[in-house]
Amino acid sequence: MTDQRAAASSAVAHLTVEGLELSFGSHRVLNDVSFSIAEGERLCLLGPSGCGKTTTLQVIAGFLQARAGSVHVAGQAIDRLPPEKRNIGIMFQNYALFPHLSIFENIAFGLRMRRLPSAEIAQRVNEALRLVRLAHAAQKQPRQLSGGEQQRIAFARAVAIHPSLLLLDEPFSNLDARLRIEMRDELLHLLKPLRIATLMVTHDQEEAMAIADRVAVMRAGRIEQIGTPQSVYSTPANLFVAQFVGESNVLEGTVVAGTVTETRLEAEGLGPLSARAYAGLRQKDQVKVLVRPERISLLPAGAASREPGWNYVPATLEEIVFLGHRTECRVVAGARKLMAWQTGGDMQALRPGDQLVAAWRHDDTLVVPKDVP
Amino acid sequence: MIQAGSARARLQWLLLIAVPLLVFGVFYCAPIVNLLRLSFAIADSPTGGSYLPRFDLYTKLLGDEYFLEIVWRTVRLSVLTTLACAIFCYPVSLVVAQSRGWAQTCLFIVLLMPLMTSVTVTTYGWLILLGQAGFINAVLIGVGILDRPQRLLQNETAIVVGLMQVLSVFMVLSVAAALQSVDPNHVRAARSLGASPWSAFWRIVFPQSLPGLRTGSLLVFSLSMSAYATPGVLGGPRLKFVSFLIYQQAMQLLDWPRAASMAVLLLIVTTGMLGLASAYGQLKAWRQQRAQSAGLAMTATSQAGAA
Repeated sequence: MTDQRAAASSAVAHLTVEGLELSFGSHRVLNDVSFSIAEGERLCLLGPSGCGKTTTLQVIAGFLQARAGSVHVAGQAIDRLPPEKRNIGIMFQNYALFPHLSIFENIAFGLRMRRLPSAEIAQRVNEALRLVRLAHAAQKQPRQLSGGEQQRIAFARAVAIHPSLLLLDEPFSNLDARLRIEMRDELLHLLKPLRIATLMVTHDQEEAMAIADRVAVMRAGRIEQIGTPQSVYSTPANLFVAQFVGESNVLEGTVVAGTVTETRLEAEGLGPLSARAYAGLRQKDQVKVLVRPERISLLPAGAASREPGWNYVPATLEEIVFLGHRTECRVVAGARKLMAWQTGGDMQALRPGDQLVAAWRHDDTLVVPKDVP
Repeated sequence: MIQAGSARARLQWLLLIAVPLLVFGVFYCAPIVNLLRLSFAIADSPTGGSYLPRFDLYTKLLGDEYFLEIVWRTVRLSVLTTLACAIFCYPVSLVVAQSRGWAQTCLFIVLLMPLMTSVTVTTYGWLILLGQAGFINAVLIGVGILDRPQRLLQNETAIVVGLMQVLSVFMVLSVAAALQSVDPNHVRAARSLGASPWSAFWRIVFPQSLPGLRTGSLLVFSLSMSAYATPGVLGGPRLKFVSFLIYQQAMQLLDWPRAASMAVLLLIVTTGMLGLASAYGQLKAWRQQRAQSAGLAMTATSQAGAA
């Protein structure tokens, strides 16, 4: 699956962004930003606010000019084109529906700009309205619609022009928590059959992973890692990516030995651990060792079975928080505290102070370089 | 219990609106009513008139060509001033709306300057600039465009220019406020949908600034209609405005009823013009709406036909 997608994206890159550089004063906003999107692929720029993801979007849209680098769509450089000549559909964070125009006219705007005959405009607007299931709202004013409906209209307006590229800027940040999840699924259902190359920008890792085929994690104007949600999650390139995408227990570690099948480590305060095999690690390397809390199983202290390929660490339960869909357990293992998330199981029986064994697979022990602070 | 509560709430509400009502009644309604009463009286003493419900004064005024000419001039020049303000102040408003920080503060100070000084002083400034031996004539002669001083004062242009200078701040502030409330993402959205910068401005920004333009025009027009000092000084005795005539009647000829009826007529003309303008606006909006729904009906039928 992963390889297939990677192959697809290298085969027919629809959008190619190469070496974007941009500074505001002495602040470097974009630092050699490069990526590509295949036809029909959805890529998400994920990062904290101020990491340059929206700036990247604005450069692609033509609202900002990069100091260096290039943007190609379908093999053609668009760097010198004004925004109106780029044929890029944009859904803005605040939707930016024109308040003085009806819903019909909002969607028709881009088509009128293209001087299409009015019959075709009407046909395409109605098509877009049907797509977002708001055909009855054509003559309403934007302010008469709810937030979710406004977002669907913004989407309809962006795709009605049959854009060669779709940009989504923080599409869900203006919605409340419940609606956000609903609209996330809705948007995914709308996007999938359209097969438009889509670039989305968000700071929310769940949104990114739900919508995107591939995720590009950004920090301080630089792309730290690009990959499928699964690969970014299971093999983060560095500590920042690991901590931004999902939660982690972070330990200091030293490489003891590396073989073809596993890497043996000495974790500070925890003792010897094994991780999957990593190329490029040498003995005595100082590294960060990460374990996702949902990958840690808690077993009763007496459980005898020790399977190969697993790390077992004796632990004492310190705190237990029941959240319904999962139970968060804080345990003390050696001199370290670990967070372990348990789903299902018989958690009611556990009491703080219980002796347990924390267990996780070698493959779930992630090793990343010690980040320069 | 609930009733007692609501009665109490009502009392509180009454008390709350009593103060503004009182102020409004004493300082606004009473003088207008008095003005109306006075306009139906006949002058017989320097302090007022004996009350007698007659329309004599109105019929006389409405048949008085000299008075009507002055009313016509007041209306015409006020409309001109409003139009000129709208046209010349719109670009200024764009600059004001786009400026930030200290630049905007400086612009505001420059714009508010005429309001901070007395209108009379500002207007006398124009006398110095536009006079026969004034700055403008000197420059024009110096550059060689004119060979002898031109009379730049005591004409309608001078009045409009003077009024514009004093009143433009009202237009700029109203329009700039409306422009500033336009979401910059609207322009970006329009551009991304294929609109050139000009088209994005014309179709997206300008329509959203219309309420500001309307408010500004309303302010400039009503203030021009009641202008006194500027037309008086720059237009001279030949080109009177209605306010000047009212002043003459009340203060120089002490004919208070006549002054009162002129004031009432001025009020009626001003509100009438504003009413006409707003009615026209509403008619246009209504027509647009009707055209839109007709257009929709057409597309609906054409679709039905196609199906």
